[in-house]
Amino acid sequence: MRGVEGSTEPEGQGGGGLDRAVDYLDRTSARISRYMFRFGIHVTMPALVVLVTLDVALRYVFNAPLQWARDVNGLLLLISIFCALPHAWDRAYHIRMEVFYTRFSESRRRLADVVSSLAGVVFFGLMAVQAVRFVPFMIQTGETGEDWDFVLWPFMGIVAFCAFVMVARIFSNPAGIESLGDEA
Amino acid sequence: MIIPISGLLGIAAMFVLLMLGVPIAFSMAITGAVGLWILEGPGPAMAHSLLVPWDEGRSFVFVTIPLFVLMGQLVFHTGLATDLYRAVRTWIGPVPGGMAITSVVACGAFGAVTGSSIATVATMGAIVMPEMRRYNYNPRLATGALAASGTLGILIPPSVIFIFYGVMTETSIGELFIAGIIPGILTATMFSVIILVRCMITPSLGPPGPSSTWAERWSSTVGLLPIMALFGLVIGGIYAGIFTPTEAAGVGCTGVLVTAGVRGSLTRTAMSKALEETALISAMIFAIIVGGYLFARFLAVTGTTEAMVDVLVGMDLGRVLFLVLLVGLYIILGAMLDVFGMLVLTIPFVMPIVRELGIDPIWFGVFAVVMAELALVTPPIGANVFVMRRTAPEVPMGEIFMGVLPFVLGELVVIALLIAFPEIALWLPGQMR
Repeated sequence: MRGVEGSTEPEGQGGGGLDRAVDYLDRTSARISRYMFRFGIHVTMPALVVLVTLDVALRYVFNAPLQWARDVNGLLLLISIFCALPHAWDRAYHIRMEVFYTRFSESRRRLADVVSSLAGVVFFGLMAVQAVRFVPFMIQTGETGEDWDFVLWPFMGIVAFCAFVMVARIFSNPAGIESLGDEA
Repeated sequence: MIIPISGLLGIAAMFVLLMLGVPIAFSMAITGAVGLWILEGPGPAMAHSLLVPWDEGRSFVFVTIPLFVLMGQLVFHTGLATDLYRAVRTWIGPVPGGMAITSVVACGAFGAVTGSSIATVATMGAIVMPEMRRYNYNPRLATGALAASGTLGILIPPSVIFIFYGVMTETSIGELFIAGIIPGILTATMFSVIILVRCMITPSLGPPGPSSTWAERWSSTVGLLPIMALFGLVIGGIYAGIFTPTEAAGVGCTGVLVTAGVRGSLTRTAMSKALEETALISAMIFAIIVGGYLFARFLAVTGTTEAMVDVLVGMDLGRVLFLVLLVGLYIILGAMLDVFGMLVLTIPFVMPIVRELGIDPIWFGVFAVVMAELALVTPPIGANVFVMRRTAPEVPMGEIFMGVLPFVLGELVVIALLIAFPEIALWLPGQMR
């Protein structure tokens, strides 16, 4: 895990299988998180802008609105947001009250980071597990959008996946400090 | 009525987490989820933990947030503000404190196309501060005026904070936008008068800027047209009932893209930066909203909200005293929390009381945003002041906070006027209905 000081061994060497597993989880989840983020900002977010504008143009200029636009907008938003959540954690975008935190000693700050990461892991863990449990239910009931006859379970699957990536990122970067620079 | 102990414990636990530095979204979400788990069992707790983000994440209203954030980011990264500043300067620059007053008006106008105060300060600070240095403006006045004027970005529509409030309280975002116009103009006028009076009394604080010919004034005013056209399109469209706020945001984004494309400032880097910032800011806001909803559900299940409303209503405070107490509460919270945190923490408790006291939720939205403006410039957090410091590193933080003080007093006068004359905020949206 990042943010833990006092280690005398270089990262990824020694410390046995657990350290290697943690290191692997960190690197892999960071990479996935960046890919997801790029997908969000280069695909779904621009698509959202285009679709909203197109729908307005069709509605007011040609009097022929897209009936499915609201459903698709909602799903594009959902994907954009969930794809950005883990990366927002790595870029320290989540707001916290820093008045006391910045005045803590190093050991108290580490304790606060553990509490932070525990809160995040538990919450997003609950979300991820519940989303996984929900997917078969949605397949069974064949749940679709309100105006768009398209099954919704794959999007629930995306939510589950993103929530698991978020859990991995919080676990790997418990302080939520900016750790990836401008790589994205 | 007694406030349930479970609710009080939940509130206490959340505050402990907040003070430990746990992100606001996590503090509220985990308190809400664990509280619901204890009270209702694992099934409902897990269901809420998923269904709140699932429902909110697909909400058509929530689409407004990333789109308006993107619009503001595009304006910020494509440099549309430079022409705006030049145009305002030719008209206002020559009066005492003219450059500082120009910054107020330009921030207000910039706020009309971006919903973010941080973007407003960062953009206008970078443009105006070198000019004010050149004309030997008092650093305290210069930085204070810019940091305070940046707050206009969230009061003059479109405003991300109004959207956030609208989503949280299910209040009409369109009406909130329209309600912010007159208070925004009032605040800008108040700030301008403060600068003018101070510079007339002590001319060395802010000497007049360069004078311009009428020909220069009219030709530079052309630079205002894209901003005015965008504002007219977005806010005019909402006011006339042509667009919903979400549609207006989409049209606004496209409008900025076309404008920047015509000006040749739509670079790949600008586009990429704008999208990146938009996704990150939207994810952060989304997490806070989800956390706030979960916490509010927990409070509702415990009956805490209802009990607190009963207690406060039973105290028979009345509208004015309640609002005065809220001003104090928001000043304290604003010293500890970010604007979003401040609102998301108070809205679950305050809104039911607001409704019970017969206060218009639209008016209260304006009041909350003006309080958020104060939080942006008051120590120790004062996000605008931190951004200003980056633009003017030679001015100590304490100096900037001192420079902001007269504007904080001006803002308090605006709040008093809003409380005394609610029509200031409600007249314009009333014309829409």
